[in-house]
Amino acid sequence: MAHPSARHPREPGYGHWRWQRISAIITLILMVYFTYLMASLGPLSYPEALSFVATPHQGIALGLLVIVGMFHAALGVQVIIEDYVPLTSGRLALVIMARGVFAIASLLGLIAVSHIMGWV
Amino acid sequence: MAEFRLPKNSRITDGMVHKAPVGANNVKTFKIYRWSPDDDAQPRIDAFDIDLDDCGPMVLDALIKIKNETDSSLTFRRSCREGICGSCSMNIDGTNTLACLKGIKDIKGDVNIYPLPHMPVVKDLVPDLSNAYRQLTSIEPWLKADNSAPEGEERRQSPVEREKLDGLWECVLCFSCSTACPSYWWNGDNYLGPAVLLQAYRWISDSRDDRKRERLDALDDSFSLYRCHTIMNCAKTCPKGLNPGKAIAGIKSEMGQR
Repeated sequence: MAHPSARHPREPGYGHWRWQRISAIITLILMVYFTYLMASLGPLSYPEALSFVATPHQGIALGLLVIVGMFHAALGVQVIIEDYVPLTSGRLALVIMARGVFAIASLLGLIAVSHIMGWV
Repeated sequence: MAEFRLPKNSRITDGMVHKAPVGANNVKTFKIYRWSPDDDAQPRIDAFDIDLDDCGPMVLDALIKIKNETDSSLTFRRSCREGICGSCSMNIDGTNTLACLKGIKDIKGDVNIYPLPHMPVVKDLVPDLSNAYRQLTSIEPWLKADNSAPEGEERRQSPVEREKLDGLWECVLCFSCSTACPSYWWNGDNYLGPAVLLQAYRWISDSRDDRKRERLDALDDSFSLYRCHTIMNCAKTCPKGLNPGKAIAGIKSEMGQR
């Protein structure tokens, strides 16, 4: 079928759209958990808070929140870039750069969670 | 480099003022965008005072009266005068609509009339819709069936199958919706826009069409369909009361069921 938009690379759109919604639902659930976790830490001292958080299931949940949250943010920023940055003004480079920034942020977040867990 | 002002030759200036005839009691002012490619003048707003006691009830009636009696150079598209052809779409009182369906009495104060937004202007109220028509062609808006219809018979549909086309077939392709959509403003060269996507869904939903999968595959890229962010200006402005946003959601749903 002829396509009028030969000026932009044809990336599949459905996959991006689907993953953005799946990651939004997972992030929403994990943010509810995270809010509960933060509220629970209120009355505790720093060592007590560390030992409260440093359990395997808390670590897995926090790690998941970092990965899925950053993945969702990267997908969202890609949409914003594609909306407002023309192809000729470096759209593809910006998308790749944004993905890189969120990948690094995810890595740093996971390292921080690992430190809390005492895994590294 | 971002530009925050229109180029100098695109800035709108005050134009001519055409006063109502002496003795007119029921006067309303129509402020109309004027621009001609035939000279180097900037766009301007001409004001026409119209005696509503001597004019039809719709905005299109006033435009025709102005063209016939005051300024024959005023340029706009019109044909059926009853909301079927979609020719007289323009921005009236801040909303894209059909001039033939917009009552003058529905507008408070002066009547401001501009061409459809964010489209190149051919002259006065006539926008260049070439890109929109090219996009319409790209979705191949006609029945594509593997087999020919039975000899001497029509292709049959059940009432339920036929109902799926309601809210889709009524579109008159005036492009009021597409030109009201910010996503179409920013990415009109790649995003197909609500009018064309509503047409695409009309054929995707047609039980007689055998190329649903092919039609969906053609829309599955990051721009043709997925620039819609459900802003819903399309449904708000449609002069026929249709909901292109719902049609786009329908395409996205079908996309997931491939």
